Amino acid sequence: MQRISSFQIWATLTVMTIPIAFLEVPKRQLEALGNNAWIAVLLALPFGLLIYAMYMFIIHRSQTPFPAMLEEHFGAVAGRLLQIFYFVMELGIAAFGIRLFVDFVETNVLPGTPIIAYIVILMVVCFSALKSGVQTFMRTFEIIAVLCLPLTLLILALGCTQPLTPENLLPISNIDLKELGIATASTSIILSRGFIILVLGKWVTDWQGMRRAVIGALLTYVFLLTVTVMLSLLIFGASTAQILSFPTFTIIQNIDILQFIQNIDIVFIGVWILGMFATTTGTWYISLLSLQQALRLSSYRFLTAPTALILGVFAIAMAENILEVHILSNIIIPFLYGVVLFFIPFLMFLRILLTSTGNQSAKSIPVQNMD
Amino acid sequence: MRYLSGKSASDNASDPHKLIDQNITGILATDQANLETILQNCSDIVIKPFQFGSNPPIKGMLLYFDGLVDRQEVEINLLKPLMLEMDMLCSQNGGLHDNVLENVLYRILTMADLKTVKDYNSICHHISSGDTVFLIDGIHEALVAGTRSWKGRGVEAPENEVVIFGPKEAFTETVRFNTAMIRRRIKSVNLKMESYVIGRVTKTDVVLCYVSGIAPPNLVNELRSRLSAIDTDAILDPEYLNSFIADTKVTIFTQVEYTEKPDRVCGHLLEGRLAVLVDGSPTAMILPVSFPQFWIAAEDYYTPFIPASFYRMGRFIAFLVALLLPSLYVAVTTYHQEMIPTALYLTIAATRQGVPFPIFVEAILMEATFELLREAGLRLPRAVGPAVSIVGALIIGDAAVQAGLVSTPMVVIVAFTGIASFVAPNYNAALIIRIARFVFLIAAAALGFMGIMIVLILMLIRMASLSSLGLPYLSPLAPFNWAQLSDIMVRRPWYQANQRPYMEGMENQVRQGSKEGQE
Repeated sequence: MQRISSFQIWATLTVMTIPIAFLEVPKRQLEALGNNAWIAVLLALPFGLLIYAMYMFIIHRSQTPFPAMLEEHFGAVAGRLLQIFYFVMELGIAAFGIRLFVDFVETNVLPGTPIIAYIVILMVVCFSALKSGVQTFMRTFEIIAVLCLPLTLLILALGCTQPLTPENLLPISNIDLKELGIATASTSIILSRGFIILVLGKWVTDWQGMRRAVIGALLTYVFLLTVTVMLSLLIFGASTAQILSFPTFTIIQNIDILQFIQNIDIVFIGVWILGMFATTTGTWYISLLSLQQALRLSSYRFLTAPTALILGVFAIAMAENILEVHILSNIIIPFLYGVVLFFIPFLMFLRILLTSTGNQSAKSIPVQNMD
Repeated sequence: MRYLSGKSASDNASDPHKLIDQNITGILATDQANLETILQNCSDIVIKPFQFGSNPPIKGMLLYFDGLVDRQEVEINLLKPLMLEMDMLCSQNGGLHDNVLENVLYRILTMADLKTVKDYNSICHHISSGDTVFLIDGIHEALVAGTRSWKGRGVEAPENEVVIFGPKEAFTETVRFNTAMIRRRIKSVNLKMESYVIGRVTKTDVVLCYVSGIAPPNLVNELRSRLSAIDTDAILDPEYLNSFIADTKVTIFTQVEYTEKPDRVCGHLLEGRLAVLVDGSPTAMILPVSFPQFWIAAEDYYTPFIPASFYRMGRFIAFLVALLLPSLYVAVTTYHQEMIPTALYLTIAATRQGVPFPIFVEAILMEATFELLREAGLRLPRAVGPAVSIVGALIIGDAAVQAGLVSTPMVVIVAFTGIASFVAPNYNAALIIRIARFVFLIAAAALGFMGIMIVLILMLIRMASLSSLGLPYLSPLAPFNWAQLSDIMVRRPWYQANQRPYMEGMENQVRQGSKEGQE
């Protein structure tokens, strides 16, 4: 596998974390904390730092990349069982991402088109990226990050042209600590989608650059989400923002420049499509790699077609309607993120911390070709 | 069965395909007979037997293709010294029969470009290239004199890369003139020009140019091996080569740049790229290249950097307009009407009153008509081509609107798109846009803005998977390199352009401001 630049790491982390969070997080925080929602997003910064520090520590102290590192730290049998588990779970996370996107588009953009059409289209795009190889889709992620970030900032800047009420951010004294904890955790847990660095980190030659990239991605995430949540509050106020399905989307719908540029939500959706493609591709890639490593296959690429079928069926069957998707989004998915992307890596982290370094058995683990 | 038995020696002797691989016999009569057999039915061959020297005279023979040689040079620099001065030398020195070839080479002939060959194949290659071959009785080698000269197009202004400022020379169809135009600009011994003869039938001269010490050696080696591996009948243009040496063969995205301007080739060579010239083509092929480079015009470097940068950025906007405007119009008017301000929407709706086609069909019809007109304008004789294009566009457009077949906004959109597509400095880049535009139109008609984004992602994936001689096709955008990207987005002033664009394996990236730089 060719080496990966630190900029590619930043781009990958950015596109893996922000697109889903951009739509999900503001609503969840506003519902939980009202006018104090922005504090929960800001507090995600230290927690995010801890999560990423844990990932970096694992990469640094492991001799193999993920998913081979599961065998390195948990033993051959448990490691391979966990690889199968990761295959299923990551596929489930990817399916949820597709479903969330499809339901959003179906209800807000092009109602009437069957969801199967969107699912097939999104999967064709991700399939084509995965078949082209990791270097190709990481280059695509770079372009997406470079294109989408300025556009997102521009859209948010345009959102500021609406009447803003700074008092809506206050008071902070009546904050509910329990809700603050839950909201902070739910914002931070999305950062664990940056789990993909466990896969890619071993191919980054510039360790300092990777550190900067990870911190940069974290700051980008916190900045964008804080601004979004603050804007929702500044424009709508807590009570109105709490009843909106997608506050971010509503901010953009309300933009009106000189009574000529209006209803530019479709531009935002275009940007979001790019992000969703990246998120789904990255998650699907981890899933394929896990199966490849578990079955000791020489390439993951030929698994893409059969898993596409599973992914498509999974995305359709996982929920009857958008309400069920919301329930999944609020309860099941954060739990899944917690177990798959945080808890198991945390166990790895503890194991590395408590045992001596230089696991000799790692040399006997055949790391499969990941390109 | 006897008809299937092996051929006799006399059959072999009369088979030109077998004869051509043989060596020169040294018996002039036999060599002449063999060459006449090999060159049978070639009415333009000139074979002139003659004698030179004295006591006794030596038999010789000249061969060349009429029209490919400078006859005056043959007569003055070859025949005259041999037939007159050889006699004088013979009379002074009492005969020069011991080392005829050496005497002819070093004492008689005054031409600089002389060499010897030993087989008929080489003789045929050289006379086909415009050289004159001289055979001497009793000598097993033939003498080749460089007498190439043929009527060709003179150096003219480029037709496809018109510039207001800067050099206005363009390549011609003669590769040697083209190499001279490059060498005149880069007066360095590090400018290397390696020659290849490619094409089993055409035996085309191909020249690989690079600046040693700047061009990455791994790229030079890679291109050398790719050129050497080509086994085909004919090479008539650099595009023939491209189809063999491209990293990815089946794609609409061209992975090389073509130019007819020697100054542009020099600019690329000085940035470490390689150029390939093909005899018979006035176009040089540059590689490796990346897609963003296609939007850099030669003239950018001959105008002050601020206006050059302004127009370069305008070109990037024109690229987006040319690629996306019709599909955005179809998407917005078909699916996302809420984006259009009410007054504008009413205007569009009013102009579409009575138009029988959906907007998508209208757009496809207009785009197809525009492409037809453009193609017709190119193929028609130069005197009538532009007139037909303009009249066609005006009359057909106006008539279509009058007849209510298309709406006025669509005509405006298609015309604007057409103008934007002509902004592309590179013809092949413009071709990519024109093809991709139709794909975007179909996607926009099917899924609106979402369809456009889906095709955009697919296009990005495809482009990201490509490379040109190993250089990622989207670099410096992906892999991202801000220093180089900023140099592509704007034209950096020369005093700040201290470094050449980086390429894998490049040994000398310093352009100026350091003693480490070359020369």
